[in-house]
Amino acid sequence: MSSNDKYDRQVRIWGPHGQTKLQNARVLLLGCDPVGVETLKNLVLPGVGYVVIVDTKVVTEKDIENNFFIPHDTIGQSRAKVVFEYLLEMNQDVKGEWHQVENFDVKEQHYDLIIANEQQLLETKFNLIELQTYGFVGRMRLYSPKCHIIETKPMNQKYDLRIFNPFQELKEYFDSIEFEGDVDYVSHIPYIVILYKALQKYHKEKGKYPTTFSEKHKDFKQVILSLCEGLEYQYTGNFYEAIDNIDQAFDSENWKSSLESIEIEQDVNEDQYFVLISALRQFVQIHGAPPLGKAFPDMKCFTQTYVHLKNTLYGTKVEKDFQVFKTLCQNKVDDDTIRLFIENLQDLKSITFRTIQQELQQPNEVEDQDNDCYIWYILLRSVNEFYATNNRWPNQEKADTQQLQQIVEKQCRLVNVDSIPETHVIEICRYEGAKLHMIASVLGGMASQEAVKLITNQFVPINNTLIYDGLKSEASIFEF
Amino acid sequence: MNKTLSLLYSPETYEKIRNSNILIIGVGGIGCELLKVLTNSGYHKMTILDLDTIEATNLNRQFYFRKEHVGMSKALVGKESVMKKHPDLDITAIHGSIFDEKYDVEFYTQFDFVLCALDNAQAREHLGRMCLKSNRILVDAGTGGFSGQANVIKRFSYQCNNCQPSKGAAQYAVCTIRASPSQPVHCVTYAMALYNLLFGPLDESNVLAGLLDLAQFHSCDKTDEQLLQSLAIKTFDKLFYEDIKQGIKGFVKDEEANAINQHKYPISYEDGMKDTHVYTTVDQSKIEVDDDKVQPFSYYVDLFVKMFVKILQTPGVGSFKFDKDDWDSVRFAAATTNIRTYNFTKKFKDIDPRLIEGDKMKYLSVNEVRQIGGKIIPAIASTNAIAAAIQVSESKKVLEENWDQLRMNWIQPTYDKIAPTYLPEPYPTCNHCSPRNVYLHMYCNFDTTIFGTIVELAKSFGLNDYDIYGQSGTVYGLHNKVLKKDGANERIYKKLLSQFYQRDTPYANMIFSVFEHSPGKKYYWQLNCKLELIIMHRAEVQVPQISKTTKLETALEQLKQLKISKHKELCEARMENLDRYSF
Repeated sequence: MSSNDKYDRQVRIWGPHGQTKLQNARVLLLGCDPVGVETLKNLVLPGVGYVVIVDTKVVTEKDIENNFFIPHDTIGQSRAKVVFEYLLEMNQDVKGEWHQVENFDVKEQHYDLIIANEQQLLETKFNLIELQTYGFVGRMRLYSPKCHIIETKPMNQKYDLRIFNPFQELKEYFDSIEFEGDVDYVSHIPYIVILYKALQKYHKEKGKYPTTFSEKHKDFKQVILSLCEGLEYQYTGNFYEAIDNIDQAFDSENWKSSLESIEIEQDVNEDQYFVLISALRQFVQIHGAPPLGKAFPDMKCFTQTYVHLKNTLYGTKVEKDFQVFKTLCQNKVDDDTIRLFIENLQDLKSITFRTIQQELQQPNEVEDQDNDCYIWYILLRSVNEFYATNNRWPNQEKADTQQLQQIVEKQCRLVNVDSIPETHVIEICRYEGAKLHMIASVLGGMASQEAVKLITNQFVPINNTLIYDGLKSEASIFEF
Repeated sequence: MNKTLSLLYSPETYEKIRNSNILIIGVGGIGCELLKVLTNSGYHKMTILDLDTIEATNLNRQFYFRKEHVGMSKALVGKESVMKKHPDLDITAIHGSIFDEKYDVEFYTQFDFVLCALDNAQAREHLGRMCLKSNRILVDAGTGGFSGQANVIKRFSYQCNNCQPSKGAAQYAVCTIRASPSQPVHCVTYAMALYNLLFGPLDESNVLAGLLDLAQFHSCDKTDEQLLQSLAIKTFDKLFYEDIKQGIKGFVKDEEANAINQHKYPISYEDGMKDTHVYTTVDQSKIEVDDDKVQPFSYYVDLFVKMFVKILQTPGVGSFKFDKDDWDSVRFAAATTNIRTYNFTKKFKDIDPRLIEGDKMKYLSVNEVRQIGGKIIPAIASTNAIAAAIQVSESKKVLEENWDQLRMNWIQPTYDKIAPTYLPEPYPTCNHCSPRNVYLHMYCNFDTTIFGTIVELAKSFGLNDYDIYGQSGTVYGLHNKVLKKDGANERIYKKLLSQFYQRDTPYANMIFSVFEHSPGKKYYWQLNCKLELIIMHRAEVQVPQISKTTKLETALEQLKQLKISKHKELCEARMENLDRYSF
């Protein structure tokens, strides 16, 4: 990819394969409220493949005021059409269609993502982001029928170095290393060897391996230091490297939890992820450990040693495991995906989202009930219920505030909250359903970040609701 | 009248927004979003300023621009696009550089506040300084990938963008850059510093200060190409051969050098031109653009000399600063980076995988150097949208003078996505904004002025328990017990400024900092106050002058009257004198 490419910058974040997924994605926008359109804008610019825009209304004065993508001379025209034309003018690569219809049938076609605002979509088999802005408050709700992420892209890379359970060749190598020798030699022993030797020494002295935090970080550390006793400080760099990487000495079991938590559905052949997981289970059953990943950290040692470790010892094992694993996948998964899976084994992540139906009936209770964002959530539920009965938003008239207050009390009982500050109830009545462009812009930005995560299946999406308080410019995430 | 806004904003706020006059610097990724949110939030009168023209890589997020706009001014096209949606707005578009002298304190003073949407560290620093000088509030923002931040900078109340040098740019230890680079970025940092040292204004804070005798470059005949070329080669040999070789001399055997893990490979210009290896294991044949390729080593050797000559001949040399958009500076830096990399890297005989993977030293293409040097970070529309909208939200608080509500807003890829924290107070020692600092320029004759003048100046401030720092550390100390004891203070007091440092350039500018310690407090950030003096040689000046107009005696008299000894008074004095004592 040349640096003149207009997608150059973003490809640095989600990679060419992420960009391909984005460019093949079909996205449905239900409702042309500012927040939905802002979200779609942030997907059209980076080059999403195909957009379908559905809306029931025609352009009014209000739309022109708060929706950037509705020009001032379009009053009376279809909102879907106006927004569609403006958005697609920004990026010629993007194709799509628009519909001005009531009761659009969502089930007819496949979508990689549905962005819904103004109306709630209770059930869907597609990825869904539901959005609502109300005065200074914003709400985003994510749903994905299945969310298994291979490339979670954590901040700190984890390594699987098999120091605790070395494979045969590695164990032989570890055992062949002696700590006797001249200073130059000792100061270039790789830290993985030091950790292995320290483990053996610890076991010999105490009859067991370190398990608790204090055993690992105090007692075990002392054992490492005892190995370089008598050595001048300037030659102990590799020993201190070992101390910095103490956690790598112990068996990493992250992959186990993801293996156990995933239930494989019946139609294993349908889904690559389930093929990979079931292959992983078989692999572990046979070999007692998962396939070895390629990632190998830098370490202080002679170049020859490093090359030997990385290419000969670990490299051979990586390739051998890959071949075995590939056979277990029975040609149902391509090589690149298998490699990606093995390399990210330590950080796999699966999320089971509660459905919107479940949330509406009974949202999960929240511990920190004083959080303003939580209060806004209950109030949003309340105004939505008000709208459902009255077909309009509550205003500051006494009758409305009283009616809303009753709904609020009912909602509070549902989630076991004693009461809500009156100031907040008054504040939300002041909004009368007004949609601020500023709030739509913030929420639209966050929604499109989550949309990219869901479409590319990279990074970990939020689970499952974000409330944005524009008065404090603060956001909180809840699992409702 | 916008009905949505008048419903949600109080009448006073709405009125303030309607009547405000704001300045927006930068119409790039964040700038486009800013314009959109501002114009949809009731703002009416604004000036937008940007130096850049539109590039193809901008189009993935800067939605005011289309393919046909590539090559045109961002500011002018931006204005045109905004007016399409809001024809009644009062927008002034300037296609210009904020470094231009036209944009002085008076220019900034006409605006209610300033919004920053810049991605360039130098420009940002300059803007920060101008806002401090003109007492304008700056609403700042920055993004990278899924992360970002937006916050208000208010003079003397909250941290400025130079308070924490590490915030924007990672800082490396001086000796890492000068003597023991271990990552590509260290070599790039060296290259940029070398560019600034050779072709920029005198800057004692440059990590390479004192590395070269600069006078020869400034005084030489710029039309004599041959002379310039031989100068370039001489410089090459000094930097990459002699200095490196000297470093090695200290060790008796090669093995000893190995023991402290330092491999150095001096290279002369002559040998360098003969080395046509391409030091990389990445297949270069698939790369289309030349600037994306790692070139043969001799290419960089040749490029160093060519660029050296070319830049010296460019009008204005002596005032340059590394800039990712100035391709001469980028190419010079690319050449320097790779030669420097050679100096500290094995020659790829036995390929060490660490050279290819991870952060270890490696040879870089011109564009890679540009990206590392210009700190080009992946920018995407969504994060820019969040940052800009929060800037507008903070702007509302500024107009409402709702100071308690201002926050440092962090944008994160996960967790709570937006996390506000309290805005931090200014660093007491910040060179740019701390109210506990007093800055003075002093002009004097280095041949007749003694160091004691500075001591007297400090005394006149009412300082008692202080140390004076020069570029090599503490030079005079009332707090420092060692200096106080052995009579060093007395000796140094009488020293002429021209003899102060034994160096090639006795008349170069000097910087001294006077730190007053607070009783019972140990750390530098707990210091009572700091007086920073930039001292410049003027042979014709009889009596030392402070700032441009004031004589020393008058300044001392005035400062005495202020009886500065306490922090608060110092703040006030600083505010009053801000115009006189330039930053």
